[in-house]
Amino acid sequence: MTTFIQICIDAASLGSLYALAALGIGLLWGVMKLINFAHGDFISVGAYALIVPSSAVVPTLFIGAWPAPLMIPAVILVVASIALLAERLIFRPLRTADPSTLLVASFSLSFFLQYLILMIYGARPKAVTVGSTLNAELTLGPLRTTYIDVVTISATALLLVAVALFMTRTRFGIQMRAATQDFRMARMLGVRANAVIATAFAISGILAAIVSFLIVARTGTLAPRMASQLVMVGFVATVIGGMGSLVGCILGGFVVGVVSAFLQFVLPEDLRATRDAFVFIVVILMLLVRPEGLVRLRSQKERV
Amino acid sequence: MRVKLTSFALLAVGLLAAAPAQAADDAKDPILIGMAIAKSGWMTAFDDDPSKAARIAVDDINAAGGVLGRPIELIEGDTKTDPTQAFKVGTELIDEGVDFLIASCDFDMGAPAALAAQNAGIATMSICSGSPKWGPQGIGPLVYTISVAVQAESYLSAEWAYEKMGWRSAYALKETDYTFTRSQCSGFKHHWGELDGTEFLGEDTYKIADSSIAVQITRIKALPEEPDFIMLCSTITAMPSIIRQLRAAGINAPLMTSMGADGDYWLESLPHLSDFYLPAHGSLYGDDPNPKVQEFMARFEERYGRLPTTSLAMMGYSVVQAFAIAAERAGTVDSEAIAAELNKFDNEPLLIGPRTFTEDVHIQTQVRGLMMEVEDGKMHSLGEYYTNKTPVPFEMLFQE
Repeated sequence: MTTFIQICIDAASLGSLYALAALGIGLLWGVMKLINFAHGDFISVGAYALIVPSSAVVPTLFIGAWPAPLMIPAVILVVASIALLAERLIFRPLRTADPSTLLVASFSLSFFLQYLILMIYGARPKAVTVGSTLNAELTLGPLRTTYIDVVTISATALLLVAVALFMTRTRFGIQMRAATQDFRMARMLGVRANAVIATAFAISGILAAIVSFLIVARTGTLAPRMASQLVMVGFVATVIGGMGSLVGCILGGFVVGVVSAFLQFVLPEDLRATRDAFVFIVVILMLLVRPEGLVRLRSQKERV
Repeated sequence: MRVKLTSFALLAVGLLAAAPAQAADDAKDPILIGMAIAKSGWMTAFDDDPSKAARIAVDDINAAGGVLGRPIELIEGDTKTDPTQAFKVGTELIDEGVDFLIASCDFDMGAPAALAAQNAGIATMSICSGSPKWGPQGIGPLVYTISVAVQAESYLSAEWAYEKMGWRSAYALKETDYTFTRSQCSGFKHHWGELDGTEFLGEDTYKIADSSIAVQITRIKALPEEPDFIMLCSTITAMPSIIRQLRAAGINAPLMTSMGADGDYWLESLPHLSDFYLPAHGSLYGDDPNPKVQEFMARFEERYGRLPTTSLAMMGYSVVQAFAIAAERAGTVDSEAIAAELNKFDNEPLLIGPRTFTEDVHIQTQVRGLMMEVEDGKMHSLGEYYTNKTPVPFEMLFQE
């Protein structure tokens, strides 16, 4: 039983990071039907912002050397600005383009940011100590976890609540939801499309920045493609969660995390290397049973 | 018409006169070595140091009179960390008439250049890739790598742990993203089982993207006894995170890994790491027992203003060394003859260590490593070179 609870805790720590990544992706999908593959690179940009731009093998801390109350807002500012810039320069002109064009644009942006990082910082992974004290162990009787897991899970919960409150309680949030439902109608009723979409980008930037801080604190490593896998998983999570639903994204992230963690534990040694194959079998089964995802949104249904 | 005839006659006479002079010049013409390496993209970080070392080797050889009395000239092409570009660069270098090709550090990014060279009958050696496919079973019989099979590193680590540390029980953590780390663990598991009285307590896997190995830690904690050591089959990208999580969870067993973790640049985020061991090709910290390695490091630093990032840099030096030795023995720069001489290398003493090639195996199955220890976040050499006694069997080379 203890082992079971322990695995649940372990699963939650993996799932919450996936969930946060999924939330950033799901938000933009909901608002403008954009699958933003550059989300992972927003995360990388945030992480690299912690160090002085240079290709030196041993990095010097820049924003990362500031105290946390300054460092975290600074990273958020950097990533949110990049996200806003991407919206203004790339996605706004493409607003009326079809989803496949948007997809290609987000891929291009992703490659651009990756190569920019390569050019400035070089390819070797870099070691940084930001937030490393959070990796200390936390024991509760026979159970153990780490402070970073607790921080990650709480951050996920807090951000979900914050985003949900924003969506339901603020004017911008309500406009954003209206735009999600029917973009043209919302515009006709006076919703300022540019502002609404820019806000969505800014929020996804903030989410990405927080993920970058959490990843760096956990792994202590910067690498040019550090978040690309995470974003793939995040994307899968938004699909099984129900595209467009924020709660669905979080749920989807947790499902992938929990399924991965349990499979890691129960699969025999020889099959563990192919764990992800089993994870995706579960994903396919879930999609067969609930093609609209775990949380069905009325607005996302195709109306004939 | 008469003018034309006259000029033809003049030309003919001129050619006749020039011919012997041309032949005499040939002997002094430089030997061309092409380097198809990444000067942009992510591979740059790995190709850069070995290619700098290759330059030092070329200067040394030229200062000593060159090869077969001819100086060596290095020409470079940028593969841009792109397989398509690698093929193009390989072809271009061959069109420029290179006698020998040095290829990139990674099989996927470097192989196309080697393929172009093999097709043109020019010998190639990879500057540091650890894939056995650089050879007759992969690209072709004219293709080599100066590097070692990763399984040989595992054999070395297993034997050293067994003999020098007296460890008997082992556990392994395997990163499944790359062939390199998968082969490292399978080689280790295989050889550890061959040693008398050893116990393999199990193996667990993870992917770089997992970022949390909480479940894997739970499993290690559930073992009836802590293993004598844990083998980390991990890339540098995931290593700091894995070590942090293991140590934070109170798993203090000694850790071992491959030569891939050489260099201390990644230790920054692990200031208190101890009980961590790995083999390296040489030491960057001034405590190498081999004075030639120390001298090389000093010269590299003098020339480029910094030490190499890892001791892998020495491979670049040894690629040129190997070519020069083979060419001198063959008495020609003809690729077939050079390959035949390379295949006769039997523990040929090069800067990087002894090198052996046979007709079938163009990668090292035995490796000499300087054992390194990380103590309180600092890496230093244990002062002894160690070589695995059992070579990696041929069929093991291609297993993952």
